[in-house]
Amino acid sequence: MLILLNKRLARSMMRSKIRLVAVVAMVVVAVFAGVSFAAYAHTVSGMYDEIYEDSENAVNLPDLWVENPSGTWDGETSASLCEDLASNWPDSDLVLSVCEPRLRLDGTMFYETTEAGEQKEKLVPAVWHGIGEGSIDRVWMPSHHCCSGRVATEESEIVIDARVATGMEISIGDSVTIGAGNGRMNFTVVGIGLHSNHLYYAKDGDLFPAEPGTFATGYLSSEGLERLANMSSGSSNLLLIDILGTPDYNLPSTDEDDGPELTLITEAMDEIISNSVDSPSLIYDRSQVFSVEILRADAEGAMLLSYVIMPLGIGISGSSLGAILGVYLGTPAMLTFYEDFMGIPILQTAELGQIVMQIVVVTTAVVLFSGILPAIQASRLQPLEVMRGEHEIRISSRKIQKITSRLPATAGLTIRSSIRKPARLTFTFLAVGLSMLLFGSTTLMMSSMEEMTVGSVEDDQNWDIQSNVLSGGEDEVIQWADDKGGYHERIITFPANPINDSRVISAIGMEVLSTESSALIQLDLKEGKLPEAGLQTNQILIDEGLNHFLGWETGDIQTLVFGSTPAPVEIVGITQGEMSRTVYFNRPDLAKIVGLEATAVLIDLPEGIVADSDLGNISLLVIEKEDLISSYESILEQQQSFLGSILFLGILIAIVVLFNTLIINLSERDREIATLRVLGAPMNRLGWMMFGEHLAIGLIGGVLAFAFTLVGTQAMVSSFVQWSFYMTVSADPVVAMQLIGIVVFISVILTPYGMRRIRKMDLVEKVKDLSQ
Amino acid sequence: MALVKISGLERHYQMASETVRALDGVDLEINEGERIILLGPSGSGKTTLLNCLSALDSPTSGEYLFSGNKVPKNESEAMTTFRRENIGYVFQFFNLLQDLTVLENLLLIQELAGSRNEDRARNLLTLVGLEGEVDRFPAEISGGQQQRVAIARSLAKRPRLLLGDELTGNLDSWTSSVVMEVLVKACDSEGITCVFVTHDESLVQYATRVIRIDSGKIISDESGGGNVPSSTPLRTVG
Repeated sequence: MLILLNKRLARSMMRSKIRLVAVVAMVVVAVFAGVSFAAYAHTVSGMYDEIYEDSENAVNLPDLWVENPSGTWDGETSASLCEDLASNWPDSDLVLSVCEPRLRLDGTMFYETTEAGEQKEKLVPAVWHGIGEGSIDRVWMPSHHCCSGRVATEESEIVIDARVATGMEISIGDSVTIGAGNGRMNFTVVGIGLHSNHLYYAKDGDLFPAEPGTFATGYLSSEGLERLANMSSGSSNLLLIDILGTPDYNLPSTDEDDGPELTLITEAMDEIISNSVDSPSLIYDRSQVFSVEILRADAEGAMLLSYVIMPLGIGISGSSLGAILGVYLGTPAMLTFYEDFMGIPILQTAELGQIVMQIVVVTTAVVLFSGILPAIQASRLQPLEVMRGEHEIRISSRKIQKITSRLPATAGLTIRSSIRKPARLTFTFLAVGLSMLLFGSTTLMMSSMEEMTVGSVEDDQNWDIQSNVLSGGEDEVIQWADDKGGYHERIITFPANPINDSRVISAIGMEVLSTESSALIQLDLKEGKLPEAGLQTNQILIDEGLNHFLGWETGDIQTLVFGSTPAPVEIVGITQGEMSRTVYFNRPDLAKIVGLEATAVLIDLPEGIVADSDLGNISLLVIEKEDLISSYESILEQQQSFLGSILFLGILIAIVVLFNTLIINLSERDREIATLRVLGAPMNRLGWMMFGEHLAIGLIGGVLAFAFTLVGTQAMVSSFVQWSFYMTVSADPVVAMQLIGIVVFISVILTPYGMRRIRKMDLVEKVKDLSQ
Repeated sequence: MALVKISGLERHYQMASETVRALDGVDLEINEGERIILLGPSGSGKTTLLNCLSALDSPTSGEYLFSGNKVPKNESEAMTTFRRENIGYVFQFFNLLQDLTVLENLLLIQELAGSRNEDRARNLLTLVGLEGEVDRFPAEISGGQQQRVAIARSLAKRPRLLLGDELTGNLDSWTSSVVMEVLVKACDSEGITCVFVTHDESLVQYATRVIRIDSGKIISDESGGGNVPSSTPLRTVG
């Protein structure tokens, strides 16, 4: 009996092949996406712990950093600071293991390139580390094709970052020309590796990875970097503190502290260093390092969640195919993209068996659950009702009838039959909404990111070159700019933090604070007014991220701490568009606080004048606006292929979901359509009815999809915005139109299939059915 | 001139092992105003004849003229147009559209035929004794009432030929007689020619002509039980 029933069921399913294919396709897509994203998230989230650990093959990430943002300590000071820390270390469970002075300088790589057949020297912004062999925060050279060679031990040797080696085609044994504000020197490449500061290979403050050839980092011996910068032996601007063991600190969050023990140590260190040196120092913990990674992990979590939800309501039969595609196609593709995009080698993939099992089991459970209701309904059917066809009869909604009673009967029928099964329709809209959430949120985020990166630099910034200088080095750069007939403004960028809060704010002192489009940097003032200079209490602007995280408002008097120097400030306005936390001062006000006249010079050059080697020689690093824009554009373009696949998946799911629902709608209405055909309904009239129905479903689905997108993207953004990265998402009408347009298009494009199905209908057979 | 003229009509079905001759050379003329009952055992070919008359099916050979014009065959849209312009059809299981009210079921057919006329639809419903049910859904009325709606629907676009396949097969005998009385009255008042297929010998009393068919051939063609007096009152069925 059971075998016969199963045979009958199987044959019945095979009769409606298209429907079967649509259901299987839904499962395949869902499981494929689930496996791919889950494997990706599991692999990526675990890899950093292995890189940071204190072992032979890892880097031994420091637990605390002490930074001198305004200059360097000489060898004697560096050594005495470590001695003071060791001798005055507070009584705590956290025991000091190592204190290592380290020199890290901004600089330039002089890179020979060929543009339009012409040999040209390009000034590439760079960061140079004096590391040598080091016991903390070592150069990471894993057994992977990315890396090779050895660390720099001689003063003429350098290890080049793997992304630079690939991007600029540099190999071991090559000679590279670099500078750090004191002329240029040649170094021999002895290794290719990676460093914890630059695992996410982006310039300081940038959200996107640097485009090959636009940013360089290198790891020299301590002596090598001292020689390059013409500094005395033992000079440093960083103290790396390693605490015994690997304490499980409270990792970064924007609102919570980093654990009472660590806070105690940080405060004690602050006191020790303030007593030892005059220059302001900045102490921070791992939270600053992890911020970018956490940002990524949260985004993946949100994506993962949406893809774990997707299998709901989808059948089981495609699980295997979806899992195979996910394991052999989706996961490798996503991990390869991650390796390419981030430039970090993935040494070990997450255990896929468990992930596949989880997703398949969830899908299976959902399918079983979905099958239970029809089975219960079938078992309760009364044979006589079935024979009379009464089991199929549902009384239409009187409310809907009243609403549509003034419409032509054809329109009324279209509307009422579309919403005949509201639960299924709701699930369709829900599924379309969720699948398009992926598309919509990606598009919306891309549009916001593009606006914040390319848009803000291209439209709001009118400088051509930013030349970063050491203290007092600005005069030479200004002279250079004057010689070239350029307009220039000095700026100061200096780290600060709120009182009793170690999170870093970038304080920017500008010569001209302006909202005019002609300003070198045009501020987007959300509220308030521009600060006046020279007042008793310095007036400042804060970015909206500070307003969000600290609750600071216009009119507030707050205290900013520069190293150990507190400075009361009056907030007179809030700006928008900054990704990292920023406050704007009038430059003279900030200069008084930090004791520096400039950290960089912004230059607007006449047409045809570009940065040259002279500028490179007198600058710490040179940033060209065009490079910055092309770098952003290139990264956004690079992301397109990856995001394209996400968009494709979203659309694919929407197609499958809509196709499935519309097919079921159609097949359920065979009887109705056959009746109409027998009674003489022309194809074009039925076609228009179907088109209207699909259009309505598409429009409603599209609007709901956009609503889902807005809510979902806001939720996603609010889950991953944090101190070092803040953004807002607004309802972009272009994205709304795109989204609604796509859903409508998918829905309407299925009309011809429905028409074909009606055309192929055998009316003689249907009349037999209708008469039986 | 005959409304329908069929000569040498054949309809063969190719089965796996044999050719079934569902219609095997049927000659038939139907005049305007006639009410014909087609009687015959299962598999005799009466439904196939009805399908060919309604242009749902195309004959394998033979000629079919309607008002002197050739009826299209093997062209889906032309056949649909022919049906729309000339044929009314009543099903055994009514096949009313459940999402539309009684009145809207009639209006839909008019709209599909290109001429919505609500007054006529209401008059037809009055004619079949359902003026009080116009705003109810089919599922809210009885089977007999549904069949009367189906009759009114089939007349709503003024067909010239009304066809019915076992149209009382789903009704008890009392309701059947009520439905048939309604049908006869409506067809008389509209001047519509009717052909009904049935197993039920008792219905011959409503026919002006009774045709018996077997093995795809007409075996008898005789006058029916006559006419129902137009004064017969309609009874409401519950």
